[in-house]
Amino acid sequence: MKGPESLFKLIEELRKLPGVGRKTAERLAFYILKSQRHETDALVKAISELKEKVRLCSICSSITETDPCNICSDMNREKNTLCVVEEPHDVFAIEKTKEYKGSYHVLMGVLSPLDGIGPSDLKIEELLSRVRENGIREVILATNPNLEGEATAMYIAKVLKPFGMKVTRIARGLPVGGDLEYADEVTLTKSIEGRQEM
Amino acid sequence: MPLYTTDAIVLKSINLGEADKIVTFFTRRYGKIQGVAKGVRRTKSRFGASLEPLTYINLIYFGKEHTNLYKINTSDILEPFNKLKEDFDKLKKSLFICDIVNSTLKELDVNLKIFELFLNTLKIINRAKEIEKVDILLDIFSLRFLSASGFTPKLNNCIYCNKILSFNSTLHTPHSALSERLGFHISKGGVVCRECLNGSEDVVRINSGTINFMKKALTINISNLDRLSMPHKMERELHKIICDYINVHIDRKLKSYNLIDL
Repeated sequence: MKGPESLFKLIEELRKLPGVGRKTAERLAFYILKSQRHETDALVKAISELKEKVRLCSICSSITETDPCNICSDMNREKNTLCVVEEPHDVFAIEKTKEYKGSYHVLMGVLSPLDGIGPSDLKIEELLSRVRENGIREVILATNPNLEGEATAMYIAKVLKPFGMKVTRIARGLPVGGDLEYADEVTLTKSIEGRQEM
Repeated sequence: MPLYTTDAIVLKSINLGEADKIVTFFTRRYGKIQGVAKGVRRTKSRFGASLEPLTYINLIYFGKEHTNLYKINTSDILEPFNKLKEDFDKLKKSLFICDIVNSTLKELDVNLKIFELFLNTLKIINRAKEIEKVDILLDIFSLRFLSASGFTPKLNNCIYCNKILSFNSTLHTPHSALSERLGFHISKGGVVCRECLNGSEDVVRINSGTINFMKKALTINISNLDRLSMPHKMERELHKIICDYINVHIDRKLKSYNLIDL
């Protein structure tokens, strides 16, 4: 195809982004081309700063610009409750609720026997060190409710058992605004098992 | 575009894009297939739970014949195997057999024997009360799986001199009493008699009781696999032989193998 090489280069780079195909990449590239200079500069600066400044918190492994992260350094948060999640974006999802006031621990993945991902590939040893040294009273296992997430939660519960602290699993069941009629039997079973007295 | 309906066991699922999944199934009627399931990772998805690995489902999908990737229309759970998924020991062992099936079967290769074996083994693990029963079941599954794939070990005659081997020992004879030591040739997949043992390479020692157990494991009705049991020492011997035998024939190291002892 004939045309400016720099435009094709940008399209190729944008195509590498998740969920972006050729058409979308072309649209984005032409949008960037038509944008004001200060807008494109701001985009370039934002991407560059993201790579320069954002790193993993040395305590919880969540993403942060300061080490330790805002959550780990906040003295008002409960330090003896740990919420274990799979990825840094799960921290943001739980933070949106504004209900949880404890600390986090990001595993940076899940156990996946079919892909050969074992405990040594995750931040499980770091979790055990935190539990050992910081007098943790409760660990909330907030991995995804799928097979890998459940396997990871069960494995962590197993290795935490000797410490004798409270280990809890986030509830599973029907989504708010959902319809009981369309729920599958596994979800319904879990919601009946996890019912609460009113 | 044809519409396919079959029962299937979910082998693997990987995330695709924002909310989709690529799922690998072992179907009863069409063998191993892969399909894209749109939007199943959303909380309100109608059939997301049915596409979790180790779930027995009724599957409806469509796509061009012999395509690599079908489109999943819908699926209903026939057996969720909840008890298997709620017990870590049962789960990792079930994932191990799932790995054997997934990594050895070729796409669209229909094998009803293996399908029934896999389904029955999952049913047995799901209802098993003692985890020790599951350990021995893994070896029996592997043996039966290899047999259904065309690698039945030769257990009646010596693979070198063709001498007919008959044993008096029963499965429950104490280990010390099992004096008849024979050999098992891993790559050739058969028994070596005492006379031919010397100088044979790639041969591991095996008790006649273990050979008897293997014979029973190969012939027993698959719904009764959990009725077989053997002394602990023989179990270890069998496990070692089966692991070597399966590694030779699968020709690659299973990814889940290292995680089975977690």
